[in-house]
Amino acid sequence: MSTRQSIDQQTPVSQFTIWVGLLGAAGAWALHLVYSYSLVPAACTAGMGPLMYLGIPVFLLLAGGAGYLSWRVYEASQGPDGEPSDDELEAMKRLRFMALSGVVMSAFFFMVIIAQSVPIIVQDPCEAAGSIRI
Amino acid sequence: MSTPTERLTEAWKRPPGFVGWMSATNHRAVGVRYIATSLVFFVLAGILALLMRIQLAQPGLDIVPAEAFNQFFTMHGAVMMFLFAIPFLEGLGIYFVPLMIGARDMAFPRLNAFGYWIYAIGGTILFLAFFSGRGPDAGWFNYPPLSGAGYSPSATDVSMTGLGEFQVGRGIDFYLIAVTMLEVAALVAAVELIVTMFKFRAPGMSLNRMPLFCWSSLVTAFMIIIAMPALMTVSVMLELDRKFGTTFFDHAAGGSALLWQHLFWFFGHPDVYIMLLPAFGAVSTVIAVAAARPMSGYLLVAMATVAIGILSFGLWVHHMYAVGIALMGLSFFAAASMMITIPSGITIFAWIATIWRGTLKINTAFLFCAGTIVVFVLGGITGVMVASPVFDWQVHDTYFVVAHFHYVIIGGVILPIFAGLYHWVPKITGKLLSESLGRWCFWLTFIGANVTFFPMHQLGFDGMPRRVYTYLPEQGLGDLNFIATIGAFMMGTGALVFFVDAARMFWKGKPAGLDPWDGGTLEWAIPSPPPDYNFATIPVVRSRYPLWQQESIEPAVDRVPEGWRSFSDSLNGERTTYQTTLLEAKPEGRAFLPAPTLLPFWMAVAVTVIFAAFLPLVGFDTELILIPVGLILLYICAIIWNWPEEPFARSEVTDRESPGSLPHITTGRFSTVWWGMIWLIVIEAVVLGCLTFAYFYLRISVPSWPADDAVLPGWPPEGIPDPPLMLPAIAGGLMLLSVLPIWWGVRSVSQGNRSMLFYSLLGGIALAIGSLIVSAIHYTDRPFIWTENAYTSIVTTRGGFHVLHVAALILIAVPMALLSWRGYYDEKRFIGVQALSMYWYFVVAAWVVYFVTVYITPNMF
Repeated sequence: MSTRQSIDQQTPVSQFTIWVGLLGAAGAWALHLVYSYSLVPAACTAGMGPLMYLGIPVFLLLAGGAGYLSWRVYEASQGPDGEPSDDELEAMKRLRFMALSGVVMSAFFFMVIIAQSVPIIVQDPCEAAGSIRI
Repeated sequence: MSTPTERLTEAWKRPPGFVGWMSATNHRAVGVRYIATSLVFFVLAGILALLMRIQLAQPGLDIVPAEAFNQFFTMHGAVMMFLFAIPFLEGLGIYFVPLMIGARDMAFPRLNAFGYWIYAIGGTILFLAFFSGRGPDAGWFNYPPLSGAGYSPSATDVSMTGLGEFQVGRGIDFYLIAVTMLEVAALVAAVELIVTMFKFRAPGMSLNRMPLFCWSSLVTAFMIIIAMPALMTVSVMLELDRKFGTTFFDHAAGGSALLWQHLFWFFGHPDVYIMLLPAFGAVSTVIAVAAARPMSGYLLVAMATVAIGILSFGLWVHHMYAVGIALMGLSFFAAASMMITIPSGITIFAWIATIWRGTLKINTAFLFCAGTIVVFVLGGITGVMVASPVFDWQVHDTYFVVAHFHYVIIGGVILPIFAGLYHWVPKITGKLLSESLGRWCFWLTFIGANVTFFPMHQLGFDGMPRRVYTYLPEQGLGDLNFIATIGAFMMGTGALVFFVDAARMFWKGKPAGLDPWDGGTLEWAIPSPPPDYNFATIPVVRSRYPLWQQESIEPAVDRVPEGWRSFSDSLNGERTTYQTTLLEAKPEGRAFLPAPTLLPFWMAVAVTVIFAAFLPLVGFDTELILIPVGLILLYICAIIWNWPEEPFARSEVTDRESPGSLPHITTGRFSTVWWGMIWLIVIEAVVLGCLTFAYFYLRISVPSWPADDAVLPGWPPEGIPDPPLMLPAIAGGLMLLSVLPIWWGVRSVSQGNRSMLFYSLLGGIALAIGSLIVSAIHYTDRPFIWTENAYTSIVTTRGGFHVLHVAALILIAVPMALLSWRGYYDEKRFIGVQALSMYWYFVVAAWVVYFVTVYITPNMF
C-alpha cells in the first residue's frame, strides 16, 4: 500500500488517531496523578502500596502508546510516491504538524509520569508532614 | 449607486449617540472597553500597593491601620488578578484574535458585550464596597474559616480609623459575589474565543498556521473553561455557608476548610498560567516582529503552550504544602511543579533563538520582552525552589514567597502587557506612542520591579511574614523595606509615564499607518484603526506570517475559495463572515452576525439584580426578593434575545444563498451555536465534577470529625437514615423518559415533520414537570434540614443543582414550544431545539451522576 493510499484511506481513522496521539499521554498523566494521590492513605494504612507500583508501568504504557500512535501518523505523513499536488503537500504538512506535536507531547508527559513515580519508589507512604490526609 | 465598501461600512457601522455606544457589540469596541476598564482597575490596585509600601517603609508606622491594611492587600491581589490581568488579556484577545485570523467579528457578538457589562458591574460593585469601607479583608484566596460567617460575619462592628470607616467581615460577601460575576464574564469570553478560533479562521489558516498569540489565547480559553467553574462552585458554597447556614467549611459540623483550599487552588494555580500564557503569546508576537523573522521552534512553542496549560492543573497542591498532607502526596505535585519548567524553558529558549537568528530592531516593545526574559527567569528559579516541600516549609507565608510570585507575575504578565501595549496600541488608535517616553517607562518599571522585589527574598529569609501591617524596629527589617518602597515608587512612576504617553498620543501622536513595525500577521494588513468590518475582502492564508511569506493575501487566480468574492460586499445590509473547518480552515459556510443591541446590557443588569440579593445591604430577608425579580427580568431578556423577527420569513435561511455564495449553516456540528453549547455543557460538567468531588471529599473526611461535637460520625451521620431510593428513582426515571420525546422531536423536525416537534416538546416538558413534583415530595419528606451538618448540606445542594437545571429546561422549552406551534422551526432551521436537546441530555446525565453519588454509594459502602 502506497503512502498516498494510506493517508487517504485512513483519514476517518486518522482524525481519532491524531487526537489520541496528541492528548492521550496527557490523559494518562492526569489519571496517574489522581490514581496515585488518592491511594496514598490506603498505601499507608491498608498496605495497598503494590497497587501504586502497578500503576507506574500501566500509565507509562498508556503514554507511550499515545506517542507510538503519533509516530505512526508521522510515518504516514511522509508523503506520497512521486510528485505530490499542492493540496497533498498542504495535507501532509498539517498531518506532520499534528503528528510531531503528538510525539512531543507524549514524550513530555511520559517524563512527567516518571518524575511522579520517583516518590512512589523512594518514599514511605506513611512519611507524613502532619497526618495522613489528602 | 453605492460601492461594495460603502455597503460594508453601512452594514457594520455602530449606532450613534450614547445609546448606540451602550449597545455596541463589535469585538473591537468590546475589546477596547475590556482593556480600558482593566487599566483603570490596574491604576487603583497600584495605588493600593503604593499605600501599603508607604506603611511598610519604616517599622512601627501607623499611616495605614491594620483593618485598612487587610482590605488593601486583599483588594490589591484580587483586583490585579480578577479585574486587571485576566480581563486585560481577554480584552486583547477579543480585539486582536479576529484580526489575526482574518474574521470580521466574534462568534457571539451579543454574548461578548454581555460579558463585558457583567465584568464592569462586578468590578464596580467590589470597588463601591471597598470605598464604603466594606472591602474584603481575608486575602485574595479568602480561606475559611477566616472568611466564614464565624470570623467574618455579614454584619459586624464598624472600626473608625484615620483613613475612614472600615467594617470587618462584610466585604467577604462582596468579594464572593463580585468574583462570581467576574468568572461569568471570563467564561463568556473564553467560549467566544474558542468558537471564534474554531470556526472563523480565514480560509487556509489551518491550526499549524495559526499565530502563536492565537494559540496561547486558545489554550487559555480552554483553561478558563476548566478552572473557573471550580472557583464559582466553591464561592457559591461559601456564600451558602454564610447566608443560609450550610456547613461545607465548618469543621465542627463535619465540613472541611481544606475542601475550599483544594477547589480554590484547582482554579488558582491554573489561573497563574491563564495570565501567563496569553502574555507569552504577546511576547512571541513582538519578538518575531522585532527580530524580523518567524518565531523559531513554532511547533515546540505551540506544544509547550498546550503542555503548560494541561500540566498547570496538576500543581495546585503546591500551594498547600503546609496544611498537613502526607509527604508522598506532596511529592507528586513537587515533581509536576518542577517539570513545568521544561515547556516554560522551551518557550524562553525559542525567544532567545529568534532574537539570535534575527535582525534585531530594538524598540520599546522589544525592551519589555527582554525584561520579561530576565525577570521571569528569576521568578522561575525561585519557583523551582518553592516547588520543593522542605524548602517551602521554611519560607511559607514569608516575604520570600511575595518576592517569588511578584517576579513571576511582573516578568510573565506585567512586562508582556506593556510590550503588547506598545506593539498594538498604534493599531487600536491609529497613532504611535513615543519611543523616548516608552524607554523611560521601561527602565523605570524594570529597575523599579527589581529594586522592590529582590530585597524581599532576604526579608523572607529574615522571617518577615506576609500580610503584616507593621514590624518592630529591633527586627532589623527597616532598611530593606525602605529600599523596596523606593522601588515601588519607581514602578509607579514608570506606569505614570505610560499614561502620560498615552494622553500625549491622543493629543499629538504621529499617524501609525497600516504597519509601523513591518509585522507579519493579518492585523497589520488593514488600516489603523481598522474599519468596523475589519477586512473588506476576507484574506486567504497560505503561511504562518502571511504578510512576510505571501505575495498577496488574496488567493491565486486559479484557487479562489467558493464564495470568496461574495464576502466583499453586503448587498442586503447583512453582517457576514466565513465559517471554516476546525483543522484545515476550509470554507464551509457563511455566518450571519447580529446587529448592535442594548439587550446584553439589560441582561447583565438582570444578573446583577439576582446577585445583589447576596450582598449585605439592608438585610438578607428583604434582599431575597431580588432573586425572583432578577430571574423574571433575566427570563424576559433571554426570550427577547432569542425570539426571531416576525413574520418568520423563509428567506432567513434560503434567500441569502445566492449563486456562488456559501450556505448559511444553521444546524449541526458545523454551526457556531452547536460549539457554543458544547462548551457551556463542559463548564456545567466541571461544576458537577466539583460538587461530586466535594461530596466524596467530605465523606472521606469523616474519620477526622471531632469526636465530641454535635455531629456523629458515619455517612450519613448517625441518626440520619440511609437515603431512600424509591422517590428519587421515580423522579429520575421521568427525566430519563423525557429524553425520548426530545430526541424524537429534533429528529422529526430535521426530517421536515414540524408538527411532531411541538408535541414532543410538550411531552418533554410534562415529564420534566412530573419529575420536579416527585422531587418536591421527596425533599419535603426528608428527616433533616440542610444546615444540620456537612452531609445534609452537600446532599441538599446536589439536589438543588439538579432541580434548578430541570426547572431551567422547562423554562427554556416553553417558548420553544410556542415558536414550534407557530411554525418557526423547520428542517433547515432548528439549531435552537437542537441546542436544547443537547442541554437536556446533559441534565439527565448529570442526574444519573447525582443519583449514583448521593443515593447508591451510601447504600453500597
